[in-house]
Amino acid sequence: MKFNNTKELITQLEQFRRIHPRAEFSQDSKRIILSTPYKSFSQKTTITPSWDVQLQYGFSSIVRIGSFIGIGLSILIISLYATHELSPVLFPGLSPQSITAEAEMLNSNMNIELSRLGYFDTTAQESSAALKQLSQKQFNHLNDTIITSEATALQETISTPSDDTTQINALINQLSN
Amino acid sequence: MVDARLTDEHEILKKAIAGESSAFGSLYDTYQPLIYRFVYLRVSHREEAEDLTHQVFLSAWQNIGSFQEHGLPISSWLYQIARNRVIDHYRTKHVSLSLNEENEDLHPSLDDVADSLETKLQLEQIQVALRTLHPDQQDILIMRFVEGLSNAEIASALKKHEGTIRVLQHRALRNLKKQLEKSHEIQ
Repeated sequence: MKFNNTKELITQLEQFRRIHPRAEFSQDSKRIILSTPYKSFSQKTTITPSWDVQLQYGFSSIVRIGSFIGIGLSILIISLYATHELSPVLFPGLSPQSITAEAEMLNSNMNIELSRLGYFDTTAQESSAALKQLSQKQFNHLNDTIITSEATALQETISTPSDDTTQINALINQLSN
Repeated sequence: MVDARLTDEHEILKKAIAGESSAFGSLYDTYQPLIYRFVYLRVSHREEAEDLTHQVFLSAWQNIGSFQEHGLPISSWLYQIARNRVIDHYRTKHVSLSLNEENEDLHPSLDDVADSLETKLQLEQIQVALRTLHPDQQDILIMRFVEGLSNAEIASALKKHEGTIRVLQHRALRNLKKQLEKSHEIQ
């Protein structure tokens, strides 16, 4: 079966509206349903219990509430006692002596660490100075002042033989004259 | 006119909630054919549809005291019960989809609907194709085009958003068309 558009299909579906239940079934079903008792959800039990039941219920309620309060108070007292009085016994870590000892140990550890840090700082400074010195010596040939002084010294060294040559030449001239 | 009907229905509903059987009887007369049609199209078996419809209204009568409106129409509540009954029916019976079996079951109720043998065969094919869809898509197509419910009413009955209903409706129509084309090709 092919439908050119959705409207045709919807028209076919709408034909199912003509389906109806059998009249006999509807009548029988309705009669049976309405003959079953109705359950009320809003009704509350209004039966008043007798005095002994009330007393018993009241007593049991009091006992129940009292026991809850008692348990609560017991927990509170035990926890307070444990934290204030029994704490060094129950929790040795909480005693003043152990806390002081632990603090002292921590302090000494910190001192050791500080001295080590000081040592590292000194060695680092010394290493840095040595490296600086070394680098200055290594790169002396790049220093302008040193280069100039070296050039002057060299010039003097070079000029000395020329003076000697002049003197020798003068001496030779004298001798030849 | 519609408001007057709703007011009347509201009054009837209040009486039914209070336990007045005649008021519930009035609700039964109004909604029983709709619920029957919905259930019948989902199970494709007249006697099972009758049995399930009876269970729906029996459950509604026994629980109407707990029904609180909160803007939910009674029809949505009845459809919710009906859907649950159909789901339970399939869960417990493990009804298989046998075409031959269905065709036998379809005849009694469709006799009233179809004017001719050709129409009857067409409707049978549509019903078979309808049953291959996802249950939610079946529910939406039946509620929208057979029962004539609005998208808001369907959304309320299926506990989904109206937008979701529109999307599902579009998919359901497309899938139904595909199924019918497929069955046409096989033939």
